[in-house]
Amino acid sequence: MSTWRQEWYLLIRDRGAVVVLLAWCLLLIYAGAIGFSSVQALRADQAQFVKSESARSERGRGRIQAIEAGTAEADPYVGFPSMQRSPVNMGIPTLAALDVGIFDRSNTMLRISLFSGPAQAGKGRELQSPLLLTAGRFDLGFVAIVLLPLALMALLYAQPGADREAGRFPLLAAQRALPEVYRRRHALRLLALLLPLIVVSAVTVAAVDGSTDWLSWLLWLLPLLAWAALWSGACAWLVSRTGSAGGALAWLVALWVALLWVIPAVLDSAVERIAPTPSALALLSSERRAAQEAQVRRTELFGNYVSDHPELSINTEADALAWTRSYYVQQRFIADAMEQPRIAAAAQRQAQQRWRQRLSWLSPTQALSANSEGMAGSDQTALDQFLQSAEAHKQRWDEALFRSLLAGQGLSVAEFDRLPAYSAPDPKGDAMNALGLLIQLSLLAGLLWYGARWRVLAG
Amino acid sequence: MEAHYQNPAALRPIESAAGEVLPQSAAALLQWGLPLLLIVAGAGLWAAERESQRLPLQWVQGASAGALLLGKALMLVLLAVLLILPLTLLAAMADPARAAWLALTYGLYALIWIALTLTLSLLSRNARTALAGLLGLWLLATIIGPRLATNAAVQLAPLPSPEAFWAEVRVSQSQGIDGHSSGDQRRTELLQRTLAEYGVSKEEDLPISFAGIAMQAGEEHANTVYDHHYGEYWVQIAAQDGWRLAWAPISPLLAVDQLSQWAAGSDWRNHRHFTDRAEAHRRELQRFLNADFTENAKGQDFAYQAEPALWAKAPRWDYQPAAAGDLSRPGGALAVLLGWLGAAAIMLGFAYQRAQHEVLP
Repeated sequence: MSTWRQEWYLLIRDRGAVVVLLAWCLLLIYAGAIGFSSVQALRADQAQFVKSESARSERGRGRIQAIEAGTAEADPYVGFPSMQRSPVNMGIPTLAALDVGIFDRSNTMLRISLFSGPAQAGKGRELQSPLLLTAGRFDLGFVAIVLLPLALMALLYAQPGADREAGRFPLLAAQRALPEVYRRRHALRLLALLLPLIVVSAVTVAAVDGSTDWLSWLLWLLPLLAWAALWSGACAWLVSRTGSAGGALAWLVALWVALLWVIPAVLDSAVERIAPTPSALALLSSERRAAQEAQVRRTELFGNYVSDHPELSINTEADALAWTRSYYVQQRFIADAMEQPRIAAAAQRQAQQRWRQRLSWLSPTQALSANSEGMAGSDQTALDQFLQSAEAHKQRWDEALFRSLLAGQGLSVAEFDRLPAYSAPDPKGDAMNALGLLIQLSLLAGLLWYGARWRVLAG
Repeated sequence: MEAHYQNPAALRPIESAAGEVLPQSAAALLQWGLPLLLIVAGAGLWAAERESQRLPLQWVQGASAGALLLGKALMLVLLAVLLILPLTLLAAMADPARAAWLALTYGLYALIWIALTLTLSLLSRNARTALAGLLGLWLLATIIGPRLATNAAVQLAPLPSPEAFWAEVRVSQSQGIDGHSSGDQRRTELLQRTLAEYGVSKEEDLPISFAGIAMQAGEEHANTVYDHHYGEYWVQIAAQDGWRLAWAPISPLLAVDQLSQWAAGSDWRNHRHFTDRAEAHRRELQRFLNADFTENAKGQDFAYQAEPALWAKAPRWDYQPAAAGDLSRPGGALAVLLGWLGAAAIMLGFAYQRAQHEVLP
């Protein structure tokens, strides 16, 4: 029997290891199912949204036709087009099944209209379960980042501590070169954990969408494999220097707590102090303040203008076109005023993001989590891209509608059919970041493996 | 808040959770860190002594098994107190009643883990087995179990998707909750009733603004729609909470989390207290404005503008968060926690009996 086959045989005969592997596979399958159902549910929700908006749009088109035919009257205020809404969907990437990221918390469906831009049109995700939001999704990203190191520890912490404590060392030493035996054992057990992860993640992605971008999947997976290699290196390094299995386990758990809990908490707290970002409420308040100031300024300007030029004054209550023009100017005033606090908030967020990137080498867990969400297209960057493109669409939509309104006309069917349709950006994760992380974690893993001197075997 | 719509309360900003792999809070420190500390400190307390053959020496010197176990338990209690006490004192500075509930919750939680730690230490052949077993239990009870239970609960008692929720609200608003009374029909019936009440035959002859009455009726109708749909939403949230608690046999943390959030005033019950008060305020304000409109807007309808004096008299938002005793206690969670403590104490008693048989001649 070859040595590798013998190790497989020993693994299968190790009841504790088999239990860990079975539990690992079950957790992976459950996490895959959670990710699959989450993406399907979000997509079904979006499909329902598109369907209802299409029906609404079709009714609107029918009404415009009726207005053109003279069988219906236009809206007396700003004309019929003001009631039009443009559905804006973020699109749920297939790889979000691997890491649901912020999709439980963010609005991915917006109804853009003259009256509401992306910032105002989001409504509904607040109805998500508060329990789920505090606990978090049990997705493959969570399993791979948080649970994989624990599963590895369970399989490796007693190799070779258990043999030493059971007095099997002399026998093993007499038969084989011990360091090779344990290196092989560690490598094989690592492989036994990684194979199910690779298979389940690939099956999950294929089940959501067979024609997915497999390169992105690979870039999602590779840093996680390096993460596993890093932990196997840490296990090798620690167990090869610690006499007892219990001592090695205590050290490994302490390392897990430090890497996954203490360091992220300290870094988060430090980054928040160094580069604070406004809360949503603070941003909303500053936007509202700016909008109110703009409205007051516009009213003053308008009042001055009318008192200076009474011959040009208009009655916006009686004249629909005048109301529309006045409204257009007011909208521009408000939009311009609200841009300043938004730019300031975005700059603050970017500054915090830069700090996070600068310090990411201190916290591989957070870097890995960010990469997992980034490659899955379910992170804040993807959401920001979506909101920016929605804002740009809102500008195009406004221009298209106001063109006819400002000319004193209702919207014709031909113009209605030419209204810009929204096309969602295709979020692409940062491949260089994924590769950088892969190299960083692999180097660290290599160093740890290299540093494992298996001193304990000498005794 | 806005007229005509009951909007859900907005969530905290999502940017606050950026980069958070695992929860980071004082509660997380107690829920995860406290058991870990007790395990690391306590796993070898008995097992290591057994492994190193020190126990017989202690019997020879006259130490009883009970006294030894009590001493080790007191050491772990002291360790737990060192962690719980500062946080409880901090909480007590803000609200003593809530702090007392938090102390009780985490005190029970600590006792459960102390009993479990000592039980496994008593039953294990060596310190390594005890540590491995306890860490496995800790992993299941604090990391895997709660997230697994919550995801399962959300699937067992699903919430409607936001799109479906608002679509149903729109349908109920336009057709009535029974689906058979359209807005036009309701308006016609309301007009007939109002005309009969004032003894006139035409809307123009009414001494008040019918638009105001119609608006308030529309609000009342919308209120029944919102009560119906939000009512179902809260029922599902409570069901999720119940399903989550049903998993408590695999983890006391599920009960602790529920009690801790309730005691801290940050659970969904407290959130509902706030949203219910906010909605009541919105409705009161709507009634106030519509009553003024009905009384004073006759002949002007939507050109009517109220005087500043009206706004001075408008109801003010004056919210007081619920006190610890105002909301119903999550009694189920408390019972589960006591059940866990009872079970852990029985297991400890059993393990102690075995240990006594093992050492006594």
